[in-house]
Amino acid sequence: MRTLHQTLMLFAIIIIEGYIVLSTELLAIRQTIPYVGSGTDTVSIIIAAVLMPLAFGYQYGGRFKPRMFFGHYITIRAKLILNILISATILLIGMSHHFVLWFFTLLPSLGIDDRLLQTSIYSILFLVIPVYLLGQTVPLVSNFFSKEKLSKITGKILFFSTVGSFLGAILSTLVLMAVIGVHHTVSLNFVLLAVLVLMLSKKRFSKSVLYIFVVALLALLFNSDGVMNYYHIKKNNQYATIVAGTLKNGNRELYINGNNSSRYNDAGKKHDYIEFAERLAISPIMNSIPAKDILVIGAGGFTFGHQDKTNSYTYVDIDKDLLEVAERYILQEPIGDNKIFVPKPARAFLNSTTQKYDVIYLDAYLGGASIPEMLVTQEFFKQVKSHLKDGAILISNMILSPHFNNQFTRNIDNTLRSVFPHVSRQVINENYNMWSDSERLMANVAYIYRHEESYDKGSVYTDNKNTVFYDKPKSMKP
Amino acid sequence: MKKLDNTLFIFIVIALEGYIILSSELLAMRQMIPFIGSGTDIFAIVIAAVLMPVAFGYYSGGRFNIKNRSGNYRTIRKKLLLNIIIAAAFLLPALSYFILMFFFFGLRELGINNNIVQTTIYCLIFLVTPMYLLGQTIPLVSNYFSKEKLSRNTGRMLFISTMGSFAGSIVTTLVLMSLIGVNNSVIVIFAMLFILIIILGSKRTRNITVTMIMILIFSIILNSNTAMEILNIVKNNKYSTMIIMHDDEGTPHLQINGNDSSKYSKTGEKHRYIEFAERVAIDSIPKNAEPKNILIIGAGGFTFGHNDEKNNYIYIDIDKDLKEISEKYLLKEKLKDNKTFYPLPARAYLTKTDMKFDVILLDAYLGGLSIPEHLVTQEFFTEIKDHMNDKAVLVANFITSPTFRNKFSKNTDNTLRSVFPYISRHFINGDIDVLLKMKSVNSIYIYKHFENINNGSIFND
Repeated sequence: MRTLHQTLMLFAIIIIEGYIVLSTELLAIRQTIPYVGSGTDTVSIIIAAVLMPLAFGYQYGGRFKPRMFFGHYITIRAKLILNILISATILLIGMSHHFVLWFFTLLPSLGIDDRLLQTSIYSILFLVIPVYLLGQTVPLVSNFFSKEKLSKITGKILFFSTVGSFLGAILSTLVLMAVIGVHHTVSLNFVLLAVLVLMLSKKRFSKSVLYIFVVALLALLFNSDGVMNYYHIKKNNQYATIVAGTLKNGNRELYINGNNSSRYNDAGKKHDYIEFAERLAISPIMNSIPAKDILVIGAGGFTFGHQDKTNSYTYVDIDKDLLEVAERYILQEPIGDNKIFVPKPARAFLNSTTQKYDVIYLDAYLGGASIPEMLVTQEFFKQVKSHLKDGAILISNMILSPHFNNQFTRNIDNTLRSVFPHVSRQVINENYNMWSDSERLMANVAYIYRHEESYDKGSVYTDNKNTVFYDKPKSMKP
Repeated sequence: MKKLDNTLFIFIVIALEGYIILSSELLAMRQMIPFIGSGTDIFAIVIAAVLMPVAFGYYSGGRFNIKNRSGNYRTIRKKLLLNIIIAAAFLLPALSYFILMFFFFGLRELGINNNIVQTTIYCLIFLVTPMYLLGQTIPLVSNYFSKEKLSRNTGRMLFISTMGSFAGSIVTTLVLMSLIGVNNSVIVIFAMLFILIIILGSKRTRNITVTMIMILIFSIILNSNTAMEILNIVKNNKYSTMIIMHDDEGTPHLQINGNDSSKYSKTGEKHRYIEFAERVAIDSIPKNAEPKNILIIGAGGFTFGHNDEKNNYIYIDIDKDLKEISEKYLLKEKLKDNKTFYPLPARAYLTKTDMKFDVILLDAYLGGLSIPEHLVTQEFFTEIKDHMNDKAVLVANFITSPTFRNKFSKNTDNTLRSVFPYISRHFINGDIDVLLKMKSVNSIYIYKHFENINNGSIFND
């Protein structure tokens, strides 16, 4: 106890607990993105699943009194250690890529397809209890402080706890996930949990210490580079889990957060929706003089326009690691001198430039669950429109209901048409599935728009006012 | 002169003149459709190219003086005969499909592709002069009437002339074109011109009579059934000229008014947009589903769904001859029992039936120039929507600009979306590579009908 009475040690425990709770919350959000997407809805469920148990944990920890429990006398120290051991055990499952992958594969097989429900179950099983237990740390530790300077000590405790949370938010996301990757950031949390147990234990080689080190070692193992390599994970940063490699049929595939984002092989074969967009927008301007300016929002594997060596391409993507992964594992060569990569959020890029383009390809919408919400708004589409030259072509690839059988698809259509009134909508590979009643059935849908500076919206033909004979083409010659 | 002394003959001349003018006007419109389409604009130009010269013809005929500026005498009879023979010479190429084919081909070769300009040139060359000359007939023959009963005779002449025009419009369109075909209706015109020559002629105008006989023979040759067969024309009724052509693989194609409307090979190959529509709307119907009710507006060659013997099909087309031609030359077999053909205008059919359908194919829009104007209005599309079951599928084939580069494409899109707000606009695979260069392509609208649909909102920041 003498060690515990050292104030510095107590504050270190509080800081580490604050770090672990916030870091766990962000890691949970990040780890679930490949399966349930990155929408505000799923994020808010995870935040709620952290805040509520945390509040109850504070309340319970403040009321805890040492007592007999199943024949054992539970001291405050023992309670703290027990809480950490239980938390670490649950988090070992909830934070490790292998188990998370298994869990989110299991849920749909049980008929649980709703991603909000999936997020809720994940949070209840893997977040609520550890956060509740870790939340007890601050009030439990406060028992070791002098009661005489309550307000001063309370202020200090809250300060260090918040500093820990601050570090958990900033350090884990902006530094660790970017530098050492998500999986090692997860491992670090378990190392910190082990450090906490070590700090709290009277004996350096107790059962508790041994147990937490076993858990930490398992965490290191489950989140090791070896395991990541087994799953072909090449990058696991704050934005995405990037899986890349020659995975099947000799095709080099790129998966971003679980979505098959790009395909390329030695014959130059790409995803059908990419080839559709190229045939439509790039083939007619191949080798054009002067070179056309092409903007690609959502770089994926940089396959769009890869064979085009003349036109000028700007790829914009929030994830800076994509270029390295694409060049190494997908294209297996540099993207080319006529292409530049701007690792920036799309809207930030559009705000920062006045350049206009001849072709804009919007491919930032990953599988149905992963919709970057800021890239489907009327304001974003207006930004895109303002960067189109007269006569420019916009093609957008989206994952939508092929025959508008859900509200999301209808709202996307409403929003797009509010900015681009005359736009074609083509379901790639004819996957219209007109007789399916499923609201969840999705397909690659291409919206195709040609920009005219002087635009006439036209009118509606009625029986009373019908100007077809004025409007129809006067010649059929191409 | 004896013959003209007979009032009856005078009235026959007037009636025939009225018939020939109106009949020529309608035949001109009909003969041009395969080359420049059928629209109010085209009709307006042709009508104008008839009315204005007729008006000037009336005026000029009334001022005719038997003594011309050089002091020579020309009789009224001679003037009438000369007018008729010149008019016949102009109408011979104007109304013969064979010659028009070369004429419009020549215009396109000269870079004249605008159909309004083409119509105007056609009218100026072939219609204005004969109409001007034929228009002089009434005032010229009025010289044979007594001047004392001017008002009575004027009334009778106008009556007979208008009756001739009435017969020219009704008999030519509703009777002759349907019964003997457009080509033979043209021959009837020249036969009437020949009768006029006989009535007005005399021994001294034998040269004119011989010339007219030659024109009549030419008109028979140019518009004979044999000539039509040479051109592969298998039907030539009031709605359309139907041609059967065979491609390099020997697959028969049905051309309706110059548009390649249908094809059907021995292996069942159809036009790509038809095969696409079948894949989307028919082939994807679950195998265990009850037979669906399918409506096709614009039967074409009856190829859509031809191989489907399970679902119930109703084909609607204004042209009753389509079925016979398709069965004989294209499908090479009768329509199956699950298929019914109603030779009716589409809107008339929709108005008279309460039946609702699971699939509707709109394929009444021939090549871009031939747009049935009443089938692109908001009211028509609303009628279509009213005949759709819940979760029914609509596929509509239009020939429009892929990138909305003309008003027609924009307005058609506006009109469709005002009725069907959530609709895809698909281009068939073969067109994708050249889509941006194309002025017009098959733009296929695809819609699934939901009875209760929430129109939703717009996402914003």
